[in-house]
Amino acid sequence: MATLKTNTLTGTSTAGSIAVTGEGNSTTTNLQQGLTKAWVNLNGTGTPAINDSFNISGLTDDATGSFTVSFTNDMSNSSYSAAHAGGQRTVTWGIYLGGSGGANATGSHSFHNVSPSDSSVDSAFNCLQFCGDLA
Amino acid sequence: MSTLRTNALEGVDAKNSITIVAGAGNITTTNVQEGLAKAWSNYAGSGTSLRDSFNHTSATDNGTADYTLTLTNNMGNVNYSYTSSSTDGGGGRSATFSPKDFDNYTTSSMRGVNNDTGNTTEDTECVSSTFNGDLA
Repeated sequence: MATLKTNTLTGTSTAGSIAVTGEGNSTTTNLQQGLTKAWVNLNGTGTPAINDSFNISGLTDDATGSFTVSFTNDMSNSSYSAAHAGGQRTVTWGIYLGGSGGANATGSHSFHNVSPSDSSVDSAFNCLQFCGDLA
Repeated sequence: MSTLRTNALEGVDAKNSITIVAGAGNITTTNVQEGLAKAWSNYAGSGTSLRDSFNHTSATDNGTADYTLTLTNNMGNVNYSYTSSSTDGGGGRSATFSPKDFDNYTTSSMRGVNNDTGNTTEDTECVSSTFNGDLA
């Protein structure tokens, strides 16, 4: 098996673009586009705290059920993809998470937790995944 | 175009860390290993048969709208990020598959419950999930 050992990957034609052959052994995909650019697992109850994260520099408690996470390296535009999941300890229903009502920001992302009964809730589980273009 | 052929990638200074230029301006870098999804799946909520997946051994049906996803290679800790969505093709309502309990959020599996926008637990036709974080 050939193993390439390197600390850094850079495209030759375009520094930020490397093609990788896909699982079907013919079609190619883009390595950089396929990478998650940021992710976070945080606890929104009590004093909100980040359990673990990547490319996240901070967490702000905006109001009950509302939070903002800041990126270490910003996204290049506001059209990035943000996926969420949330939940609460000891209850058997999930909590829906949605955008804050405004457009995504390149340096941060605000979101809001709403329970199935449509009330704002600080949930114990908040996981977010961001895909898109870094600045 | 230059093509580099290899079967595996490994960091030199740290095996588990490779930096990659990824910014739109061709300057900003990110980390390959941190950015890779460690597991994903698409399965039917009724019967929990995995249609396709990566790094999952199974999806177990614990009851209505109650599923456990088991990993092939475990996560390094329980602080990984888990995101999902689900759809009910028949009713047209979306739903969220969320962690059921702290105690069911482990390094080897994640148990959750599927709840639709009508505040009803249900077995939806398609549940999609992604795991990000550190592998063991």
